[in-house]
Parts: sequence; structure tokens; C-alpha cells
Amino acid sequence: MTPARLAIVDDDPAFVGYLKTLLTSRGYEVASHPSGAKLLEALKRPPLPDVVLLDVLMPGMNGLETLRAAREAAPGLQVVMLSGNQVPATIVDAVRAGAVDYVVKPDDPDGLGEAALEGAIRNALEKRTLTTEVARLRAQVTDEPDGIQVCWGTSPAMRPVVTMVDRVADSDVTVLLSGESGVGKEVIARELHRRSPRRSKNFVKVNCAALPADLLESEMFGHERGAFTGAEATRIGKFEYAHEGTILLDEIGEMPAALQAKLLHVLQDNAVTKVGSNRLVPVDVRVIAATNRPLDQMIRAGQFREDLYYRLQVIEIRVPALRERRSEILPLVEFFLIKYAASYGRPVTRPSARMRDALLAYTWPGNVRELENVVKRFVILQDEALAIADLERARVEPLPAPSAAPAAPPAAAPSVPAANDGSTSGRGSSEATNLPALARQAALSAEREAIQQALESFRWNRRKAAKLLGVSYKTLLNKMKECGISGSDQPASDAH
Amino acid sequence: MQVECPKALRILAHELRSPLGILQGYLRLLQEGRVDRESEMNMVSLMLKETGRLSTLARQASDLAAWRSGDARPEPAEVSARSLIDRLAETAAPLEIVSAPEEANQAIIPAVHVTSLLEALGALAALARREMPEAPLGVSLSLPPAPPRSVTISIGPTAALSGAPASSGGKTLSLDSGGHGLALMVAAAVLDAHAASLTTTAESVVVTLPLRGPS
Repeated sequence: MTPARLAIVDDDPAFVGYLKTLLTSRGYEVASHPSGAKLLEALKRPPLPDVVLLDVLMPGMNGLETLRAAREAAPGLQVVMLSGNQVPATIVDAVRAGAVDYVVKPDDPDGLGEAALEGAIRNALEKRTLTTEVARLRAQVTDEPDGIQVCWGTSPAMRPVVTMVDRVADSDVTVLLSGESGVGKEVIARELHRRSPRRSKNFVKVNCAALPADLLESEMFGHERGAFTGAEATRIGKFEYAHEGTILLDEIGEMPAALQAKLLHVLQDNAVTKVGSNRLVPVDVRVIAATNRPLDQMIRAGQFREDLYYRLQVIEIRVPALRERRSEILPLVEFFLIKYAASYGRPVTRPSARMRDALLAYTWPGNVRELENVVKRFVILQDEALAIADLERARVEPLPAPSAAPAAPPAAAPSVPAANDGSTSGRGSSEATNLPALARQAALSAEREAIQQALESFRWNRRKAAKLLGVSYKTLLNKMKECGISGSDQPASDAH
Repeated sequence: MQVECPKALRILAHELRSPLGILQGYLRLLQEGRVDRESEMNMVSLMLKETGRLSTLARQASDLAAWRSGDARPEPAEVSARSLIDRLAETAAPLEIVSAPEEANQAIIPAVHVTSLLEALGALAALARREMPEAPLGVSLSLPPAPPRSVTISIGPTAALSGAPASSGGKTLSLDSGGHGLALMVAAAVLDAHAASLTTTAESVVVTLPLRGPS
């Protein structure tokens, strides 16, 4: 981690020497300037200091004059004023001129002055970080083309993603985005589009899981009038609509086999054929596909075309789950807070330390989408106690993290109550809204999946599977029965 | 003196803070025991230097009290103006003698405490140097045309003393400059005792000393 850069401005070289020694020993990178004029010269050359410690009484340009000039030269500069004594009028003037703090030079045997100075530096650094972050997020929220910066990607786990986005965004290469549901694959697809030469054209998303095969084909490639019952007019498909732009084929793993073949031709020929037509319509589209399923396994299972896979997977970007990049949780919370406070006309109420702890402790099986819904609900209801209670309850009764393996549809909704954003359908039965029943159902589903995976890993050797699962052989047999897993037709061998 | 006493105490307190704070700071760093032997030795040297600053402050406070109370006074000695600025150029080097007309060189300043007067002029040169650290500093000597007879010693950037336009934006040099106020107070007391006047301009400090009667 790069140490914070401090600049001391003081005409007393002995004091500067001592302060440099002290602050260097505390891990800061320290520069010094003997006068305000020298600081102003230094501000013309990057990198700027993170915090300036500025003496009030100096020959030539005094501290207040230097402060005003420095803030004019670098408006975001964090300046802590240093003085031999506290003069109220000077403090007021300094704060009015933009000083972040005013500290008496350390001169007590107990080190209280040093502690105050170090505290002021920490506050100034924190303020600088927040100011930068808020400006960045604001730019993103207001969607200014030149100001956009994504709020994800700051964690080590996301670094490969960011690097790959940087490298391929401006090309036409096909990209396959993989990762759990809700990790932000669409956000990354949009970022790839935004940073491509195609940015002024359409970004079109097709959810391959949302429609039955015949409707999906028409949706993607369009249809001619009379091509099927109800096709009263010719309609262009998403590919044509995305001409010269980008198309995102979301949940590509759910695409029916017949359509996979047609898509392969489109990718090979750069042309589409409408349903009910024989005419090829040339299209120039950048294709990004996204999936939360392991396509390689699906190929082996005969569920996905290998040739299509290799067409799509020119570049594959795996987006890590939120639990693998916890350092992004709070910046994302801040981002969604600002976004939804603006959307719903609510105040930006920042979470307390307790809520932050709860946000960080939670495993986020629904990833960023789940986090977004929690923050949205928090912004709307403005009820932190409720939000914390929900998070803590969900932590105590966790749902299994969504697996990338082919699996049955999720048995339950995310355990943290989410504001209805229209993305989930309502449930009618009383059982579905009964939390204990939902939890039980979810637990069974998780157990079933874990047991099946363990058994398959050991070719249905139940003793080894039990050991892997951390339960006794007898418990495993009981659990298999409870979950409806029958091993009778498997090549079982329970030998040690 | 009644007005000056609280001011002197305030300045003394202010100037004591810096070396005391530095001493305490280094002592705490040594107490933490996280520095190597070489850094320890370096800190001890710096601490000794700060004790020297404290000794200087103690002497300046004593001198100020002595000059203001009359315990210290000019001696029945005399010195030529030229000799005085020659010695000043030596003690406050680098300090160029910019101009010294022959008649001013010959001027005799009576009843002076030469050492104290030199220290006072040295403190003023230090003030000018701090305020204008980039400019080469000089001193010039002149005889004002009108009686009473006196000699003027001007200290400032050589360019300004040579008649170049001021470049400091017209802000008059302040005698209340932080960090060295006590030395300047002593200088003012010494000059008062020598019946000298002290004025500041945008770029120079001007001391006018009375001369011996008509020669």
C-alpha cells in the first residue's frame, strides 16, 4: 500500500526535522517546504500531497495567505494549520479559508500534542478519501460520459477483471462473462460497451432464460409478417437493433440447443435470418455472453454446443462473488445509498458502525444484486434497526451460496428481505411466505446439493463422502434418505 | 516598558515552545525504542542544538531586561560607521557592502556598546534574510543631508539598496515575525539605548544612529 504523502510547510528547520522524523516513523511519506511560495511551486508538479501541515506564522507569505493560494491552486487539498498557540480569530479565518483542522504544535511531555496532530492527519486523510470517493460516485450516478468510473474493481479479487476489461474493451472481440448470479456481469458488459468505439450505438440485452425457444428466436432475430400465428407485422430482432452496437446474451447456458446452432451461424456469418424469411440481413454486432453455469460441464453433458462455446469464449472473464471481494462492500453501499437516495428523494443516511459490521459479516449469496436491494430497502424505510436485524437473522440462518454447478432452481428467495424491484415474482401460497418453512426448504436443498456433490466426487463411496462432509456414515445415510437421494442404482463402494 | 513587558513574555513563551516541543518529541521517540543507534545519535545531536536555542533565549531575555532597566548602557567608546558595517558584513555574512560614501565612512558614532550594537544589526539582517530568502543581502551607509547629524545603515536586498524597484508587493517588513521576535526586541532596546531610530520599508530595515557633534 502506498503511504500517504504529507507536506510540511514551516520556516523552522529544526521543527521540520523533528516532525519529519516523527511522521516518517509513523509510516508517512514526508516532504517539506520552507515557505508558502515553495509549497505553491511544488503544487504545480504531481503528485500532490494528500495532506499539507501548514505553519501559521511564517515570513513572507504567512500561513493564511498560503492556505488561500494553495486551495485555489488545488481545490481538493486537505490542509491542517499548525501554530504555536490558538488564536480564535486565526482559527476562524483558517477554517473559512478551507483548512480541515487547526492544531497547536506539539509541546507537552505526555505526547498529547502529537496525538492531536496524528488524529488531525488521519481525519484529513479520511476526508480526502471520502471526498474523492463521493465525487467519483456522483460522476457515476449522474452518468456523465466523461466522469463515469465504475465503483467496482478496487479489490484484489477484481483486479484481473478490471485488467481484462481495460485490455479488451476497445476491441470487437467476443467476451464470455461467467460468475454467480448477481455479481454484476451485466454491469461489466455495459462497461465494455461504454468503453468501446460502439458506445454511441445501442447496447441491447437479451435474457435467454426468459422466453420459450420459439419466442426467443423471434426476439433475437426478428420475424416476417405471417411467420407464425400472431406475427401481424414484420419485426426486427435484437441483433438488428444492436447493429453497430453491442448485444448481451444473458444466461446463455439456458439457450435451447436449436437456437444455439442458429446463433453459431450468426456469429460466423455476421448476418441474421428472420423467422419466416430466407434473406440474410448483415449485422455488425459485438457479442457479449454471460452465464452463471459451467458451460464446460454442460458441453460434457451434451447440454451446450462446444463449437458455440469456443466462439463465445474468445475472452472469458470470471467475475468473483461479492464474498470474495469484501473490501468493495462499503463502497458499493455508498454508491447505492447515493443512487437510491436521489431516486426516492430520501436523505443520504450513512450506516452506523454496527450496520457496517453487519454488512461486512454477511455472506451475500445473492451478491451485489442482493446488496443493492438491502440498501434500497434501507434508503426507502430509513430503518437501520430493521436492516441490521434482517442481516443478522440471515447470517444465523444462511442460505447456500449459489453454485456455478448445474443445479435445480433456487429453493428460496434471498434470505435478506429485498425491496420489490420488479425482478422477482410474487409467491401466492402461505407456505412460500412462511419464513421457517422457507428456511427449512433452503437448508434441505443445500444439504441435498452438498451430499450429491460429495458422493459424485468419491464415485458414490459413502464413507469417504461422509468424511468429506464432516458427518458420521450413519448420519449421511439418514440425510440421504431425508433428502430423497437414493444410491441403489449407483456403482457404490463404501470401502475405506 | 510597561506595555513591552507582557509582549516580551508572550514572545518568550512562544519562542520557548518550539525547542521544548522538539526536545520532548525526540525524547518520546527515543523512549519508544524503535530507532537504530545512528538515528539515536542524530537525535541527541539535534536535542543538544535545541538546548543551545533555549540558552540563547535565556540570554536574550536577560539582555532585554538589562537594556530596558538601564542596567546595561552604551559605553564611552566610539566606532567609525565604516568599521561597524565592516564587522557586520563579517558577522552576518553573506552581506555585501553596497554603498558607503567617503564622508559616511568617516562618520564616528560615539558612546556605543559595540558588541550589542553589532548583535542588534545582525538580528535585523537575519529578519531581512528570512523575509527575502532568495535575494542576496547587502548593507549601505549614508549621511542624511539635514541636521541633526546622523548616519543611516540600511540592510536589505542588494538590488533594492541599489535603487531597483521593490519586488515584495509593498508589504512592509514586520518586526513581529514569528520565531525570532525576542532577538528583535533586544535589538530595538539596544538601538533605543543608543538613541537610534529603527524603521522598516517593503524591502529594507533602516537604522539611523546619531553622530558626534560637528567635526
